[in-house]
Amino acid sequence: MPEGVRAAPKAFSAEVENPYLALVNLTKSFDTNSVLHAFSLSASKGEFITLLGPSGCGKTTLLRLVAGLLRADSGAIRVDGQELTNLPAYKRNVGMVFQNYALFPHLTVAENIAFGLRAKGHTRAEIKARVGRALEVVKLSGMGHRSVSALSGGQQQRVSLARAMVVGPTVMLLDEPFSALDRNLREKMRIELRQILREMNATVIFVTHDQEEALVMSDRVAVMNKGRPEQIADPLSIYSTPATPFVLGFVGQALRLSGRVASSADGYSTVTTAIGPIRVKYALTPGALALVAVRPELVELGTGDARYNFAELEVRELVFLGSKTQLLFESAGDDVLMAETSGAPPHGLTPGSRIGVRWAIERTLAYHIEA
Amino acid sequence: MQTKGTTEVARPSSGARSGPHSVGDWLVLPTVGYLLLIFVVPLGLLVVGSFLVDGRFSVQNFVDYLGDAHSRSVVGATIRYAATVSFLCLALGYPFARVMAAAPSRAQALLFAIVLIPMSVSIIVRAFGWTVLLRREGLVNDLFLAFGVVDHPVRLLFTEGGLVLGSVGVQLPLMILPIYTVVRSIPSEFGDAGACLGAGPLYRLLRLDLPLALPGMIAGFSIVFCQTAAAYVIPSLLGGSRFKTMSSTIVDSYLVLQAGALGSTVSVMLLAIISMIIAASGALTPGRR
Repeated sequence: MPEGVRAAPKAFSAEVENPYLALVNLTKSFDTNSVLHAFSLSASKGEFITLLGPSGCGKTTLLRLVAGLLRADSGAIRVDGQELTNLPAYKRNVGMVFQNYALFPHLTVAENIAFGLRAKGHTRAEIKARVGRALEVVKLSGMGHRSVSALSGGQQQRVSLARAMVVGPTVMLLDEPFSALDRNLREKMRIELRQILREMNATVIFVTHDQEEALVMSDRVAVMNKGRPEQIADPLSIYSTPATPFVLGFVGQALRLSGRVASSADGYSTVTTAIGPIRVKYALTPGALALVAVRPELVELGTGDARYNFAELEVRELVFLGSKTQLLFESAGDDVLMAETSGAPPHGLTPGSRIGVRWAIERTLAYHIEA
Repeated sequence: MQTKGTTEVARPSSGARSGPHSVGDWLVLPTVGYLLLIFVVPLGLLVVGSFLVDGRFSVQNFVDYLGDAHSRSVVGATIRYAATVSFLCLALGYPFARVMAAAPSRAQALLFAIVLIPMSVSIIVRAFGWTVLLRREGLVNDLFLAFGVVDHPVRLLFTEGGLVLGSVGVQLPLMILPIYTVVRSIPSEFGDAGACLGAGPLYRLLRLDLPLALPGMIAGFSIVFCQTAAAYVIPSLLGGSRFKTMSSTIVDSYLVLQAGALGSTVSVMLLAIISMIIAASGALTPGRR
């Protein structure tokens, strides 16, 4: 695991004051396969936290531990001061929305939503009122009598959200709830879902492998890798100051170059890379291997200057993406050289052209890496 | 892999066919012809025979049969026997099917073998096997004694209790398999979702697991009921000559009494009972809403 340089002092904020939800040193193994290693995370009431990571990083396991569908090997789960660690799922009052919604096919929409209320023995009148209100919130009024299989994917998802919310859970867990929806609907639903949850001041743990979803929806994002959090921070910090090379690579794109640290003085270092020396505002260890990176939209076409890193690069590909154009440059090995300009491809630029690019030294990221 | 939150059974799309009257459609003709010849025609003759009295249409055969107290008791005994066996199979089959569906694949294969291997053995052999088990000095009595159910060996063979016990053993696979098929297709998330909504194990069993397994239970029940109601070999070997069922009346009337009218009348009544069970199971099975 490459040791990342802390990019910003506040980037690693796993703890909040007076946490409403506290996960403390949760550890879980399946047979000999360790999935979570002493994972800690806390959240305030009403906070929307996303667990982001590749498949197999332990995010779904963590969610199931909180729900009580799995038991942790060690560690503790507390919500609102109550210890949940050893309670079975049905005594936890933690709501969950499943990837495939898990709507009960033998029940109607209203019966699905009423399921939890009935199980808890509420009166008929109260159930009716609360189901009605829940249907209203998810904009499905008048559809209570429908069969769940007659609903569209987006509607099914809203039913599953209503079913989980109507019992008044302390924490809501969402397990990749958009993965079964097509792209357009997904983008619409994530705004809608975020609004509903915010109106209810729900404390949410949301699991996804989609970085865009994570950035759009979250108050804070926990980027996970191999059962450990790589960085827990607000979306802007995650994107602009990734704490580790893993976060840099997993969230967004970046121009990235590896090289050796040539010198370091006054909080600045120079890294020798394939395209020449790159200056960074980090105190790196001279002689060590380092990765330098910058987000592509910070790379501009232009000439050198004392405040900038500058290089003349050969264009390999121009990728027009509608609102922006990506410029990919010739590079060697694992290095990625890219820039982004807004709008159409710059006039007169074709693959093979040589062009000067620059980006601010202050905005250049750097990490110590191992060979 | 589930793609939606509901269990959908894949249906072949009609678009896959090459046309409304493709050559392939005619391939069913030999089968249809064969079935007509060996199934529909004899059945038709049977039905006609039951409604013929002196060459004219009449329901007199049925009136006579049901007017007789002994005959009525035979019909009652047949239904009672089939229903008892079916309910016992249901009570034993559901838990077994559930355990089987939830078991890891290796254990599942073993349980499958336990269910299927007896089915590959001839019904006569299985029935004789039960006669050995049900003897006064047989395994069942040994178990009853060991668990203190009885304090001395009891007569089981040629009693209705022994017959039911043996029939349950023979019919159980036919209950387990349809339930297993349904239970296996229920995604585990349903139970998880129920638990997250605050439903305890008993509530989940009654409101989630059993209703979801209902199609399989109804199918298993109707299969076992029909098999048991129409069974001849097992009642005659385990129940002996004292326990009369409609099947044994049919056999007796054709082979012993040479009374074809009686045989066809009872056959048609048995067919009617079985048809009603099948119709009822079809009506009770929750459809695709």
